[in-house]
Amino acid sequence: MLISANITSTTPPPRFLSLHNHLPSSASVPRPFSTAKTHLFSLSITPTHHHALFLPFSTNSSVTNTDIITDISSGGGNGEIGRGSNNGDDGGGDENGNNWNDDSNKKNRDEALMAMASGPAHDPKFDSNHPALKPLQVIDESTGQQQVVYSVTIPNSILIKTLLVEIQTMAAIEPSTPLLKDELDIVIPTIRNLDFLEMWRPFFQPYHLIIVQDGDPSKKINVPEGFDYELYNRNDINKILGPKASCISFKDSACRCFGYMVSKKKYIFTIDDDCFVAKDPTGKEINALEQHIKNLLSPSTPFFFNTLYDPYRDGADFVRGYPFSLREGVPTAVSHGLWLNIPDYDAPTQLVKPRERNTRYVDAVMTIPKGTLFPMCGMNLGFNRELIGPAMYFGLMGDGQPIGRYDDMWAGWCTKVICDHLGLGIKTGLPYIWHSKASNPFVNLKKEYKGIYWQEELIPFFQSVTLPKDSTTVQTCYLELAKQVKAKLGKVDDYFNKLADAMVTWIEAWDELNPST
Amino acid sequence: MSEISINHDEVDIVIGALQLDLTSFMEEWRSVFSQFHLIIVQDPDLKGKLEIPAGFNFDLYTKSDIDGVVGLSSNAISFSGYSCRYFGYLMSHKKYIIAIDDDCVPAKDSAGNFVDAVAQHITNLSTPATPFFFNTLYDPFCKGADFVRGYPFSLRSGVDCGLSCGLWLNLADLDAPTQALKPELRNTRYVDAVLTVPLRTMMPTSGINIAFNRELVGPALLPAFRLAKEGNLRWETVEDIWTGMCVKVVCDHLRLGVKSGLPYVWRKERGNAIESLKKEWEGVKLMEDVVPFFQSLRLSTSVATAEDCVSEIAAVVKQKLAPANPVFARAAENMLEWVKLWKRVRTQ
Repeated sequence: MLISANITSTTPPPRFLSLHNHLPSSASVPRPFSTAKTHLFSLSITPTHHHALFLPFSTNSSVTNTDIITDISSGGGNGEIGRGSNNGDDGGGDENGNNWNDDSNKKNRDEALMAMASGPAHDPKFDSNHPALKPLQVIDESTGQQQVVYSVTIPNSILIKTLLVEIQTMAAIEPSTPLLKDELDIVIPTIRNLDFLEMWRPFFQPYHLIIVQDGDPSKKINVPEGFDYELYNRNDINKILGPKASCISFKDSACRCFGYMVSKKKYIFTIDDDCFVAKDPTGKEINALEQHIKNLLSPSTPFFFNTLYDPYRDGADFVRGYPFSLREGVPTAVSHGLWLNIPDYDAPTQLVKPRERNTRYVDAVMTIPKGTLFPMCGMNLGFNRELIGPAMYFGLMGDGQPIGRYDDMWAGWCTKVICDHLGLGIKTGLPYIWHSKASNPFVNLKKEYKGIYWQEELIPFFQSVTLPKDSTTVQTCYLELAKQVKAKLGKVDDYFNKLADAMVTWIEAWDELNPST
Repeated sequence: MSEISINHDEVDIVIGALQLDLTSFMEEWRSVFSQFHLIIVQDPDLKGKLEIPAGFNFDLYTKSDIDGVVGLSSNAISFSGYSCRYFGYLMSHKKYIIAIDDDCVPAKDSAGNFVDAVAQHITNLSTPATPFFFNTLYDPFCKGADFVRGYPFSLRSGVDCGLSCGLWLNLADLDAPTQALKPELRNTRYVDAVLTVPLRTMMPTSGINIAFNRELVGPALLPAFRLAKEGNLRWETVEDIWTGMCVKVVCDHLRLGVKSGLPYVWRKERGNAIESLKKEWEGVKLMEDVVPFFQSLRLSTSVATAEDCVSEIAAVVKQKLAPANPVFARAAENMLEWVKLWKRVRTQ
């Protein structure tokens, strides 16, 4: 049933929305639009703009029909339109009983194609009653808007990503980022106080906080009024985990990963208590949490580097040469933010450049390519706990351990290897926070010292790690990784034997606290 | 960005002229281009005499020069359209080559300052690249930045940079379907970063605004991948994407770096995406085969020069891609022809 819209000359030019940004997962759109398996594509039409035929390609290996439309501009051409289906049979008629392979229909087909590829809607070539075109009423769930699109059947050898266009007036094009206030926990490790939360109040107040209090459990940590939180000190951790509490670091912010374990939410945002709200170059305060959510809710593109960075950001897109079959992206597991002011340098660099401040605001988010390792910083980090949570173990650091300040990096390397294996994405870049405290570089040097040497072994280890094909969950991947850590790094230092054991304990504790339903 | 002193004798700026009147293009770039030697190559299909304003130090090559060097056999590589610039690369003797499309003018950064794209490219090429580990603060060698905590010290000296890929404000290098879909989309975001594209990560290298170290990777920048209906708009080509992937494979193999990001140029409006799409969209389809091919390509360890890398790539293209489409067979032949030509011109 066609819903017709009143199109007048004062209608503002509609915007094209691409499906991957706006189609909800439980689409109320007709089934053909919802997956890449379909052979249907929808045609974008506006009263004032050209519409075009888009030819993305299928990632679906069940597609076997190799016919293609080779010439859409001329009336001839040897392409065929058949009634494509998921098992690749062609021939037969489409829903209207037209057999497009039939020569007698070739003219109709070519006209339909021509109409699709050129001209505004009022161009006489375009005929909305053309038998090739089927009007469909579609509702975009995120906005409730009704839209009209036209669909045409073409072979599923070239699968189409559908593109929707509004032909009604729309107030705001950019859908606002959902708050996710019931789906996200903010995890904050602290040993001092939480005064910094005051500055974050406008952005954090809607959310539940999980405070992990490190150090002396008898000390009372003041949480500013008005925040909804749960707080765990060392006694709580020991009580909840019993002997397994040995895997949670003491006297190191690595203890924060306990917060990930006890959370019941889908997303985690973690931030250090010396990180404040930064300003962007226009002077506007940056809502870091909102940007992390944007990053996590839009896909990643680890398989091919987009030179214009995150293609899903407003004002950007995939560049020429980017294969269409890769443009759906993969789910984003981690959003790694950056820091203005005090940069996250290691101790030697801090000692050499005590005055250096990061003043460069790089307005980009990008996916870290598959197969590439990076140094993850836990100061300003978001992740999808359901996708990757068990990999976010921050290791054995601090009191009684030979090393410190390698917690987040260890988690980052494990996480990256597992994300690469499972086909998940990690983004880095925006948002920025303002890092206010420079830690003592001499203290840092003592903590990092061993790490600086061990790292030279760790990096080749992680770069060459392979996980077995049948490891399909994060936990199985992580346990496999623990095995390999013991086997290959145990000889570097006995610490790694302990760490491998702790990794196993962590997974056991995780599974105990998070039984799968 | 850090101050690099540029030896002007080491630089050639190669301009492929696809339009006759280069006056406004060269005037816009005068403050930058006038300091360097230019190699201007006229598209052999472009009839007429180029208009070049005075005050530049340049060598001009036209169809007759190209024919003279390359010969007129049917096997000869075509230098028409955007490929004309490769002839300029062939003729150059300099260490660094910078090439910018003739429909691009200088950009301004977010503070409103004039962007000297040539200086930035040379900075990129003369500072190390870091392909083996990703630095989250991007280019660690630029002023005000460094390697972050967790970056292995043994990897901090970096490797030589072979290729520098710049970006574009205004008309970004989108393909025809994307631009047709979003006719108003313009790139207004100035991202103040240069980064090294990691080892074995492939990317689409646009030829619109690039620079390279000719001594290190020269032969890998080649005119090979022509589409049947290729024309004079970037929307109708993918030759630079093909070339760029060859260069990336070569750089990965030879342990050189490829950088992407700054500098920006301002790309002027030209052409109609829908018209281009109607005419030529095969490139979009071919990328589906091209990308996985290059991603899995590994060269034999004995191969040690850019020329030999190219020859080996050509052989694998012939073996694996050519059966699927004559475009690939032709590309492989062109690559081998190019290496021969490159060697011949060097020894003269």
